[in-house]
Amino acid sequence: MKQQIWQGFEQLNNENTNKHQEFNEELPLLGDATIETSRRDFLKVLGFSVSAAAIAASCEMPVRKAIPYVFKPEEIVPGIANYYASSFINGSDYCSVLVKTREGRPIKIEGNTASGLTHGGTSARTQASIMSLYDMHRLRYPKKDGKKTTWKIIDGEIAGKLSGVSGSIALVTSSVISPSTRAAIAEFRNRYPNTRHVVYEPMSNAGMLYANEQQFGTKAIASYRFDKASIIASFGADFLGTWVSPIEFASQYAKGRKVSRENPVMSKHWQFEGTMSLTGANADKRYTILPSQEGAAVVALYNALSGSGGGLSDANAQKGIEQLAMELKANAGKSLVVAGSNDSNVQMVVNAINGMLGNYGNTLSIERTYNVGQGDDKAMTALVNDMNAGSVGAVIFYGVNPAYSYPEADKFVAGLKKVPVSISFNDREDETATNVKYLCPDNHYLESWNDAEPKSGYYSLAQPAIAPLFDTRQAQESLLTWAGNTSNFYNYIRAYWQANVFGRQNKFGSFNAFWEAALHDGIFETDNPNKTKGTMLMAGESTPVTASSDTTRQQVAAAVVETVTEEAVTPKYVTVNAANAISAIGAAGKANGMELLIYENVMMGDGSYSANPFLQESPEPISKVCWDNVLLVSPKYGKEQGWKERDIIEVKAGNYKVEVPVIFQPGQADGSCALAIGYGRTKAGAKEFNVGKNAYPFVSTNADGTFNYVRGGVSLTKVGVNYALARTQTHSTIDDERFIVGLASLDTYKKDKFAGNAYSKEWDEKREEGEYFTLYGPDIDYGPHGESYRRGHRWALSVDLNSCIGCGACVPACHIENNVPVVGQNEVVRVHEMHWMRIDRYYMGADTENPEVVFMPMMCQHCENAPCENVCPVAATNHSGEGLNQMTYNRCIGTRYCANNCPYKVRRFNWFDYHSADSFYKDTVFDNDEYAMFNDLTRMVLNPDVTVRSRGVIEKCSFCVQRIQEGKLAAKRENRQLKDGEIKTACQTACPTEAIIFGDFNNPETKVAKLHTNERNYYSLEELHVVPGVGYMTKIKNREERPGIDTPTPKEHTADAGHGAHQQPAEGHGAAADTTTVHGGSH
Amino acid sequence: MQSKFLLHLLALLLLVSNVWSVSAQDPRADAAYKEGEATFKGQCASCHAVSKQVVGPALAGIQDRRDAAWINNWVKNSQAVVKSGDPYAVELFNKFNKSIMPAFNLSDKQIDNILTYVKVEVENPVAAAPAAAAPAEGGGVSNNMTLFLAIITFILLAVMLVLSRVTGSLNKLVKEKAGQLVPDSYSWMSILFSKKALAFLTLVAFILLGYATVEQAQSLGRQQNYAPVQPIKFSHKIHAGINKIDCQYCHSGASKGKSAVIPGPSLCMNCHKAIKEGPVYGKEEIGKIYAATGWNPDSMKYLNPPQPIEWVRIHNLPDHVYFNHSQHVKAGNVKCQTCHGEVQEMDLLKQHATLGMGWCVNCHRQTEVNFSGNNFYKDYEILHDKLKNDDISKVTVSDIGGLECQKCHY
Repeated sequence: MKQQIWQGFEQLNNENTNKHQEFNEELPLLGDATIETSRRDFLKVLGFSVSAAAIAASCEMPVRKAIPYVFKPEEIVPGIANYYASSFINGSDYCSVLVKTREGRPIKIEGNTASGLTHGGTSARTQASIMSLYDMHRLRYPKKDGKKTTWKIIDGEIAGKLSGVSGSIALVTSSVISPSTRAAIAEFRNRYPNTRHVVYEPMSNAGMLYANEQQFGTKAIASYRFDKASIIASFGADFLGTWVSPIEFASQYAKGRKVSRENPVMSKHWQFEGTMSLTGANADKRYTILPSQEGAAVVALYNALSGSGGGLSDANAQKGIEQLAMELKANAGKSLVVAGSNDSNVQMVVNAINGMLGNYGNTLSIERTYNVGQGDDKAMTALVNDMNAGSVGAVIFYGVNPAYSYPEADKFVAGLKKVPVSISFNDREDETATNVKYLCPDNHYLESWNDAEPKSGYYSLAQPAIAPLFDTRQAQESLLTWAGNTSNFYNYIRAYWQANVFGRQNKFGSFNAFWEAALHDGIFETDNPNKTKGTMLMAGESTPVTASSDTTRQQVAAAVVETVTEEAVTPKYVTVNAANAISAIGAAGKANGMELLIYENVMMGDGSYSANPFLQESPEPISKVCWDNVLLVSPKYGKEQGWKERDIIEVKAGNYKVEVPVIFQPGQADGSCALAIGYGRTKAGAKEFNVGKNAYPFVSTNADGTFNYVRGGVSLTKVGVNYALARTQTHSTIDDERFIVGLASLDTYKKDKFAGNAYSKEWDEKREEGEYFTLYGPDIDYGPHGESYRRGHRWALSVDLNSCIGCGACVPACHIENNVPVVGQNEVVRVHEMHWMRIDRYYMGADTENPEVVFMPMMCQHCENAPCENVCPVAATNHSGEGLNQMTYNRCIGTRYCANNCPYKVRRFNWFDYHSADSFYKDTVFDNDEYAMFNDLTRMVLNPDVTVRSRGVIEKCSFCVQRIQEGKLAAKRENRQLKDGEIKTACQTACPTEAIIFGDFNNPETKVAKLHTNERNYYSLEELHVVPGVGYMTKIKNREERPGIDTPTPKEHTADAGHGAHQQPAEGHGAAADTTTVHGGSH
Repeated sequence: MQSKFLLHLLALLLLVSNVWSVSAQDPRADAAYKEGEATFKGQCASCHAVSKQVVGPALAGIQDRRDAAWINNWVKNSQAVVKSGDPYAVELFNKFNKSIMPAFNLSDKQIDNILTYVKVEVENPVAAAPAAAAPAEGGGVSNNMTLFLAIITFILLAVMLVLSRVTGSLNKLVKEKAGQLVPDSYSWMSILFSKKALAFLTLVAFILLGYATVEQAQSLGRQQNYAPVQPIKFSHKIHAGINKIDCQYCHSGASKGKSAVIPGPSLCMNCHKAIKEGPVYGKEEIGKIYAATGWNPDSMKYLNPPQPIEWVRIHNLPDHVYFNHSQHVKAGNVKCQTCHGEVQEMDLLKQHATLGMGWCVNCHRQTEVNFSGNNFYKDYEILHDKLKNDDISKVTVSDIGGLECQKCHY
């Protein structure tokens, strides 16, 4: 049976709605105005250019200055990067990082491999956070009543006003994962005993807090070990994308998914959810249920496990629940059940299920808990009521923006106006800050000292990588100042660590040595949650992280944190009473009418990242929409309504309505729709960032006081058509007739090691027989046959589709490493996005309502037989002896023939001067320079080792050639051979699941060479015989065989419907370049 | 004319030999003095001068003050002498703010040589007699020479032309006398304006102009021989040439990374805390370093706010070129002078090379890689085999990808 693979409905239905004729476009030489060119005009232009050239030629060279440091800091050598261990903290988002600085300015974030939580992985948000340091719209000084003031005045006034305040003082923060900050807050509360500390998170996990508080007496989120679970069941929890600690979970999850012939074992992942989440897209078994039925589904599982009756009305889902229950029982103590619902009743039943399965102490622990996700919905609701009642005398906002994100924002703002003293630490004049009296801007995290304990026992430190750019002050120092403590926060953290953390280890005798080591590694991890002396588990013996030696970027030996025991797991059964919860869920029942699910977007989060151009331009992993939020409805519902994708729909519930574009989302539960939060900001910064519509006002409240992200009784009305949507997936469709994704079930793989990869095997055999089709003549001196490619190194990449979860961390990482420009919403609509690497999302199977999903990172394949190289008229793109498909910008004249001829659609053309690299200033597409990188502030993020491209040239993935050269040079200087894994590409270091491996293909001992010769390895569009340097490892799913989705063997394929495209490409669909391009003007 | 030139030459030789004969009687020619000078400049000069106080006391007259044994003990381990309670030593230590003179591992002979050096310096102060006029004279001679040759050439050419005309006319006359029919001679003008000549001249003009255009176009943005005036009249000749300071003492980045690094004035202060006056500009130029660092030479402290020095950048590469000093200096073992010229002889630094791509590529074609000496190249097995089998005699940079675009452009 033929493999069904499609990227969007345009492709499935063979529509051309989003096809964009890139190559028919006029060059925007004269802006948008079209001018008829007459002979006279031509002569005028010619005359002008000749005289301009003459003037330019006669001009003297500009005098350039070189200004050395007067007193050069010892650790800085100009031109050499320094790395400092630090921690990215934004509310509940945490990542242990290394900050790459050049000449004292941070330019890139890397993961910290010493961390036992993130293991060197990062997220898109972590990667992009570097840009928020250089944000044009940060507050540059303190303000009072909207006017510039000084810290001295502010401190004087606030200290007086806080002492004399009538009523309570409210400190509203996001989750505070920094223990020292908590101590500072405690000190503040000692000074002002009428202070209440309200933790507010717009995307709340309060349900879990309340459930654990009721059942275990611990108001915190339990810690999870997805790597220890053989069966993972998630009810709407997007634990790979947004839920609790996604980087950590992605790393754990991937560990259980690395499958090989020697170890053909992997976890089995079940997902029951209302909309297609990133996690659901990775599931082995996925069931679509209505968002309001999550509770009922959890109860059904509880009943199936406990043997009591009562299940879901949906027969298909019920069948899944029953099968899941059987597998869970068989894996007692080795399974994990999680739910994303914010209803404490649902979470209590989940706790009961995990207790019944003996998972406590094995795959999850209530002793070791998270400090993230501390948002207390009831406290926040109470505060807003009190503010309106006038009983709050002062309010301080720290990293929260309720005027935008609180469901009843109007009520909140009305209450805020009644508070006499209002203070904000927010870094910009956002929706909340514009309504407060004193603006006391906080430093960026890269300018701050801080510490963190995201999970108990896992400490980490944050150190400033740059002096504050503006006249800002750390929020903690402000709090301490007002509390009467004049200590700076650095000394404060040290003192805290000396008193509270130092004693938890016994490796270091002196505090100074301990502090230096912890600061150097960025982390300190202990298995002893008590404050008595325990075993020291720290990366103290690992190689240096921060030193300026050339090998600093290399792997740091991972800290020993918790060893995964191989021995048999003993289930620890815990009886958790959930009877009341079950009846409460039953009583709540199903929501009325159309349900709206309000969900968090992997890129944009709760809205605090809105002003980050890299995140705005990184496509959402599933819908592939950027710069916007869209209404997701099921394809069935959309068709029933007679809508088309990109129609504009009015969404109305209660008194609130928004108009948003609609797309048909496979995997969306019929009878429900979904809208992402994080959009619809009004004061994020530049107007370009105020995109999308605000979904927060749709949030309601559950019976237990938690925020309810499922809204029933929503009405949808079509009000317009043809919204200009920036959606990247269908911009570069690869034809479905071809072998793109290798997919097989685990069972088949166990039987046949070439499962899902028979094409590759067939082509290998043909090649050996000399029987292959190549577009560009026989490969005489190309590829593996050419001697010059075997001389020294030959760089290659391997992507494990089984590990790739599609989170998109690599996309902004690549952007930032390689100075890839952000082009803005309008340009993405015109198919001008510049991503060097993208993650293709494929839907598999004929079921448009619940297809399987495969993510495939796609970048330049560095073909040995590259189709792009032989069409370039000026040889601007050619092949290096090390297997790199080189792109020489200064030679490129912009014919774009190469882009047209590339079967993978990975070449990007600079339609405008996105960086103002030309001397002609502001010859750009942007109305203003707010989010482009050509003002003095934003340009600071550019990587000085990579050319900034000007208008009119093609660019594409270079395999991070600057890193290759740097690594080679370091080895030469040190008189040694290159080590495997020494050189890492930016996408590789960003990846939380180690899905991308880079190395020297010519050395058979390298990881990448071994992966390329693995039987699971295949090349994309292998039949074209372009001999790519990027290999893909087939995706293996732990489920039964599914014909029509799994990759068939070629014989089946050709016998089935006579699709012989790969054998006779000259017919029918034509040559590769033609069938695989949507851009292609040759159609 | 010629006799005048010879006269000049004679005078110059006389001058040189005079200087020679003077130096022969100089106590400075003594081996002990020279060794002493080298040791003194290498190890002592950062804290001591002969006749003035720097960090430590002036050394003039030291032999009158202390005996040789005491001096030897002091130099080898001053703190031991202080601890032994020697009253002179204690007094000296206290007088100089208890700044410790480090122990020097010098032999008695070396110390003796230093003392000889100091003695000679005191007894024979250097006469301020700059012989700066001589080179200018020499330059004049060579200029005259060129002009002279040019005039000679011109005259000879003219003579040749006249003679050839004369022989031509005579030949014609002889032939006419012999009764031969001689065609009308071509006039110069007719030859000049004949079609063939015009075509030839056009071609020559085209080639010359084309060449000039290409040359000019290529040199756009190039700055060979660029020698701007710098904010401080720093002389590489004095530092790298005369005083033989290693290039990488100041340009310390050259072996470590991309940038060779222009040293900050704080590095200058390592020496110029002691060396307060220069030989040419006296205190003026060195004073600029003090101004930049905020150093007060009287109180010997950094008192004023630092002020960065804005040097004029001489070597500029386009933004699309990646150049790494350590690749060439450390990995390639290329001498600084290969690209920067004889810097140690330049008072005012200028750009030696074109820094054009052709210049880079030529060197990459010709330069041999230290193929067996650096373990990095072990990966290149095929080339090693070829070398072993004498298929190739050497491996140049271009053999291992030195001409590929992304070696320098990314």
